[in-house]
Amino acid sequence: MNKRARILRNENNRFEEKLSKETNDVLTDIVVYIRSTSISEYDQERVRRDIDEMLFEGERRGMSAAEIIGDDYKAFCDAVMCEVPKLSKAQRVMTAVQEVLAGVIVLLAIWTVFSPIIQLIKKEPWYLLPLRLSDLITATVIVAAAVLVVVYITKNVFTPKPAALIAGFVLAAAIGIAGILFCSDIMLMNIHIAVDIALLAVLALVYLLIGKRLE
Amino acid sequence: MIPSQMLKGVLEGCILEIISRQETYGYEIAETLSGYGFGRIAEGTIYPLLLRLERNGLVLTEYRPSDLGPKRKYYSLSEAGGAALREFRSSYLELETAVNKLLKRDENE
Repeated sequence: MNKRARILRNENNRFEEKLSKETNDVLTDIVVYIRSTSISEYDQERVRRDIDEMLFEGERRGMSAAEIIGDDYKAFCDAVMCEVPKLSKAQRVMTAVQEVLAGVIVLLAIWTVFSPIIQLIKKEPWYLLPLRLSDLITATVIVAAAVLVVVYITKNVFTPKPAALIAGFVLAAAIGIAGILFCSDIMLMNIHIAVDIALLAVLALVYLLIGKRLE
Repeated sequence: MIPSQMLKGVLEGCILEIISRQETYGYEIAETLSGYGFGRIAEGTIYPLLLRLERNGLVLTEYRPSDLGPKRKYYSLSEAGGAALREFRSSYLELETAVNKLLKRDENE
């Protein structure tokens, strides 16, 4: 997230503490839905600020969120989103890459920390980290599931379908478990920890560069 | 109550008219419309229209600090907004004349 979007987000977070629980519940759904749209983070926070102000002033006048915004929150959000500039195709691709990278970096960091410990316990060289096919499969499933869950929840916040979400989780878990059960013996390569750390640094740099580019 | 489909065609122009009189903000615009007999219009209905006017350069916006809550957004008319408003007035008067003529003819028959 770029600096000015971060500053505005912090301001918005502070003001929303002054709203009632009922209004905050509505606002949370609206903000979650806005996150699913293809507008910049700064524009998301700008719109959020305007909606905060509407709801805050309306509450002071004794009005509910429905009286201020209207009954159909999704229709309100869609009408607002129509009037906000969209990210270009290139920006949307960069945003998606950045989101996936975040997941990959976290998983790689965890693997980098725990693999040497496991190697030491097995009395194997701690600096040679074994990469198995099951590691790749479970990492892919975790990152894909995380991205899809976020997309699903944000798009369906006003009309949640828990059954679909549960089915998705079960499928992801099944693929992950199958990967571990059938592929844990398939060794791909040993990676020197220095190479692994260098890869982590490169991925983190790419993540930051994309963030700068999107500002 | 004025049907929303009928309101849709004139609301933007009416909002420009209100903004042309003085710098104002969302809730005040909604209250002014209500005062003129447009019925209860939620601020949430007006907000997307204000965003569109801003995006098209017809209004200028300024955030001013508020003592208690988030900064309030004030709207004023731009030059392009003034031209759009003149066009709206002219088009609306033309429409009003045509509709009145039609309805009067219907009454006479």
